[in-house]
Amino acid sequence: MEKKNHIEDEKEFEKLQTLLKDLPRIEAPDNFEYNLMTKIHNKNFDIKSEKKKNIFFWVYTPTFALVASVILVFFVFTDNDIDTDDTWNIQPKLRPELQSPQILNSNAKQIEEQETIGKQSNSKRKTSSKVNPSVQMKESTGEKKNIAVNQKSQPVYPFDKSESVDLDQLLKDESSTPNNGIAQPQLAGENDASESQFNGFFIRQIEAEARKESLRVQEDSLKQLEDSVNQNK
Amino acid sequence: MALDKKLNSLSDEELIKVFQDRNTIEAFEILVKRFKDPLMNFVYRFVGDRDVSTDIVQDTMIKFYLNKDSYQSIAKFSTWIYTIAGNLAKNELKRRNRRSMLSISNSDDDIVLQVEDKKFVAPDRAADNKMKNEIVQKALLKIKSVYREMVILRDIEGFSYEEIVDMTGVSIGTVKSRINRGRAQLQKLLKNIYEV
Repeated sequence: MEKKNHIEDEKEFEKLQTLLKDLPRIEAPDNFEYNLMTKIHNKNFDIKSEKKKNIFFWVYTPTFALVASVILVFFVFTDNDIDTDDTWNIQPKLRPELQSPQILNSNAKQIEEQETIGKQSNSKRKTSSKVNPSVQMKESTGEKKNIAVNQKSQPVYPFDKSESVDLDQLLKDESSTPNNGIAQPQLAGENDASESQFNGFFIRQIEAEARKESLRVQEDSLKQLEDSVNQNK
Repeated sequence: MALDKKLNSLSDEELIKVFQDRNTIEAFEILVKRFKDPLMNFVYRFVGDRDVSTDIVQDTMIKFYLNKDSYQSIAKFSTWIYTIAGNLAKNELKRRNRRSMLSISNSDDDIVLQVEDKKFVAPDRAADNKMKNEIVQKALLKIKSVYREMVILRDIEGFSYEEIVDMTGVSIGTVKSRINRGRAQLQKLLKNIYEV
């Protein structure tokens, strides 16, 4: 069938085929070989048909322009917004008095201690999970208390712990035990006059002095009055 | 001279083997001599411009010179070099189409309009052989490039279907159908020439 169709097709287009075959043969120009060999000897291998490809580079320019503008807009707007407008993203500045390396180190140590306590408690919990549940409950409650105590006993302060004191604890100690010559803990910066200007505990003494002074003035005036009366007598 | 005579007696495949192995420029020159005119005819019928065709054939030969090692002896040399020339010619046509912004349309409606063009069917002009050839060439350029390539390779260059399959890389069924469609379109366009 295929062969029949093929033969029919050939017959159908027989005239056309003869017409095409009768077309004159186009020949290459006389200097074709000379030009070609000259190009090869000179190593002039510029293929014209491929070189012309660059002429239509402009076809892609709108695409490139669009992509470039999108990238530009993205970077310009996003960077500025983060730096200026979004106040929630601004990191709070550390107070200058807390920036000394000693304080930072002590804080870091405290944080590390807390982390180690947390890890230890976690590991204990894991191990205790395999043990009897009742014992586990007791132990866990005890651990919780210990953790709470540890956390209470070692709060995180923003100053050097070695040079300061818990004020509440200090006041409690003073009220319970009278001062019996034992060296009391010092307040932070107590000896440094330039840093601490606190003098509020002496306000009452100042009032008493003023009262004394006014009483003396009254006494003097009464004495003068008495003297003047005596002289008149 | 003796070398030239000896080389001239060799087949295309043997010549390119000599050129590949020994880099003998004489073998290359003989192949250029053998293929410059058939390639010129093929490219001219495909593109329709002598100068452009000359450039394309020159480029084909330069590509052949530079990429001689990419030829493998399993294929015929003629199919290989026709493939290179065909690809360069297609690139040229694409470029032209972009330039002319579809001024030459290949849609079926336009083909009918072209057939009805008085200039195209004038019998007194068609009588002239030269004019007849011009009309055939114009008609060839009117049909779709995929059909044109197949028709030229089959009916003008006289290649077998198998060789066309090797050159174009499409299946034999596609080759046959494209040849038939191309012929049918050409026949429509050249209807009045047959009557003469």
